Amino acid sequence: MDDAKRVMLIKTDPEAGMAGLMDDHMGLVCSIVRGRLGGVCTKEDIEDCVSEVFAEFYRGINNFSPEKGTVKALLCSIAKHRAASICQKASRAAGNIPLDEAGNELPGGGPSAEELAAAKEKRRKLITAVEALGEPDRSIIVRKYYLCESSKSIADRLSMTVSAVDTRAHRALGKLKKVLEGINDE
Amino acid sequence: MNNNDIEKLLELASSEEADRLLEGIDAAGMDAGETDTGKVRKAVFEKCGIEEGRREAFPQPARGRKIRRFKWKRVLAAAAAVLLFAGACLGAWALIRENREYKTALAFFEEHDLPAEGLTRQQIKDVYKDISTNNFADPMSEKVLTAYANNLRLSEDMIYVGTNVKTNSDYLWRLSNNIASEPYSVGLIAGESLLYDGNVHFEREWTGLEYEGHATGFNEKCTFEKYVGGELIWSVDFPLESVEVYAPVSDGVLAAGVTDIINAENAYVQVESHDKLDEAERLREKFIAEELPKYADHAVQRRFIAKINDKGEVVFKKYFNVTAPKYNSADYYDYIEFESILFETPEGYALLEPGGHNYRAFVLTSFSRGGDFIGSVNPSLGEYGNLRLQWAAPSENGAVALLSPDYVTYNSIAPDPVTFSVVRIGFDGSVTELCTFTAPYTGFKLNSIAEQGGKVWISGYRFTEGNVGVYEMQSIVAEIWANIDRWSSDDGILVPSDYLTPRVRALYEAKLFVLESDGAPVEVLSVPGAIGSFLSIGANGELIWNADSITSTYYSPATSSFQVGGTCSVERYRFASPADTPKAEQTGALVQFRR
Repeated sequence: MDDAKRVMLIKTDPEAGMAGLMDDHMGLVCSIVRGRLGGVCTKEDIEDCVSEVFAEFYRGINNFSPEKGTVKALLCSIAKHRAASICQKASRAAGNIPLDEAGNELPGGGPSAEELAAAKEKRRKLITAVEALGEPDRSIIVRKYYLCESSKSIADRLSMTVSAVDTRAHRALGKLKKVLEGINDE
Repeated sequence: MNNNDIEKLLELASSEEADRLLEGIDAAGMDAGETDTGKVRKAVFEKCGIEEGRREAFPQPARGRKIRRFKWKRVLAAAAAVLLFAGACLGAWALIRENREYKTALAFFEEHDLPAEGLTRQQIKDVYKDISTNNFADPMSEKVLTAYANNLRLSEDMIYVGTNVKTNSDYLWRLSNNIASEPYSVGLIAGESLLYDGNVHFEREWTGLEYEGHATGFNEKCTFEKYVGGELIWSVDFPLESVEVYAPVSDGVLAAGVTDIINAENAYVQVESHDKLDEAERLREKFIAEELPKYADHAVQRRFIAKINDKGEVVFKKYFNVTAPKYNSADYYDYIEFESILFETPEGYALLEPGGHNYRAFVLTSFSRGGDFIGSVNPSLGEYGNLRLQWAAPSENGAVALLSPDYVTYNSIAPDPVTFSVVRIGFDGSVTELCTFTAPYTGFKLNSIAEQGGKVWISGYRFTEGNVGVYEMQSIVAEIWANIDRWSSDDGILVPSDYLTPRVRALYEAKLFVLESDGAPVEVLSVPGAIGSFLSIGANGELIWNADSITSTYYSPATSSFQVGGTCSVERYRFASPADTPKAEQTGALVQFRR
């Protein structure tokens, strides 16, 4: 079912629409959330986060615009943000403020507009570099570092051995690092 | 920059960026793992206020109830209205989607300066898809990329593509965007395009050892890989070891290296910024206390020789303790071009490396066919004056080597043409002088030697504006800055390749010499705009010479290690004898140019 039909179905028949959405994307969302919260939160917290992702999608269904991306991409984006936010809260609750966020707690310690712009630019270059990797390296990197799939699962899907996946991921990462280090160097 | 950084960068991707990342990724059927999906589903319905099983709860018609006559006309009219509305919605959706695709494709064309004139909307979208997915199968892509390459004013022979590439478009795309070819993307720079016969190529990559998500100063492993025609054939890991030198032999490849030294003195843990140095120190102390005991075997360095067969299986790996005395590391790069070579001997294998007596000597270590250490000699080259062993290559009777005067270093400027001594080093370490060779120019950089057909061949390049070294780009940079207003823009200093490349090419001439018995150099071939690279011996005993032809360049004022970067296409020439006049074979390989 394409995105337009899916969204229309959710609007007209929420139960059937959301059930279909969850059938198609539950594994994807679970993988992302588990990849971020696994080892940090309980199984129940992870399940709660997954349900929040779908609920958030449902609440914002009227704002969905195909021009801004696909349903799958929107779900991924929500899952990433939700999981990161929960992870942060969990760390704080445990008294462990992640090193890279410690500065944000101080007045005026958050990232400046310039820093945000630089991070955005860096991300833009990274995504362009990921796109330029070519297959299967692009899929491996996206699956491993964006969708948080295990090497074994990726190997099964791409009909490769686990070591081949890891070797290719390692080499592709090297290339991406070079691109980003190039940015830093410049 | 580590894996976590990449994950974190991707974590903040917007849904538009996520869309780009997920293009073509089939995420359906991904495993939900231990998640109780039924529970999640129930929670979602609750949170969304959706009444589960609502449809099943609808009242069903009771048996025997009178069914009213269907009002077909009304139903048909309603259905037609719904269909019309749905059609309009879908049509609008299709238009929006088409417009979005076209805009994305056009932005891609603009970003890469690809000419879009004369192309239809559909063609622009098709070419974008073809290039951005690395498919390179659409003939229109080749036309667009050829037009782009022509705009760069590259000569026809540069644009000509050999057979060792996926498609012409793939090659042109890499050429136009300074992307080195896949198998040659790591560490290979112009003058070092070591492609053995049949396009066999080896790569070494190091993976850093991480501790609690931070980089340490140590390597976790060195991955040694073999490629044929760009395809990965095998990959062998050397954990906590580094492959320093390798050489293909008749039934595999030899690799020699060292075990990594992991001790408290060299330990450090990298942090993100200077204000976290206390954290770095704390992690370092923790690493020393908790992790170092695991690496007790690595307190002292050992050396190893290994052989890997054509299937990627390690036939043997043997450790030995001979150490060639080295200069201290600060001097190392200034003085030494040549590190070491491995080659076959009648008894097995040998490792020849410079070392001892301030490099006025060498160490020749012999091994059996099974890799067992046989012996080692460390003769002095003192009788040949203040000469260092700087280049060597295997030959039929041992190795042929060039000894250079003390003052010849990569970064130095030799005031006069340099005279080298050409010697043969026997399997037993004996040294016999064959002749002396005087470089014909002051600006001559020697990159490789070989012995074939009883003659010594020398590859290098002539730098046409003086001496080789760190100042090679001086005149180019001066010219750019003399007209800096012309190149300055909001995006920085942008000097187009069509301006820069011809100027850079004019500075270089790849040179291949063969030496007469008295050492007189006879020029066999000269390739303008190129850098003479490695020499090797082909399967049929022919000499193979790679010339790295500069094809595109860019000015890079903000990088510390180079000022002009670019790409060279690797051209190959084969000689059975110096009298041959071979044509260039385009290998399709691209290597980096950085000066």
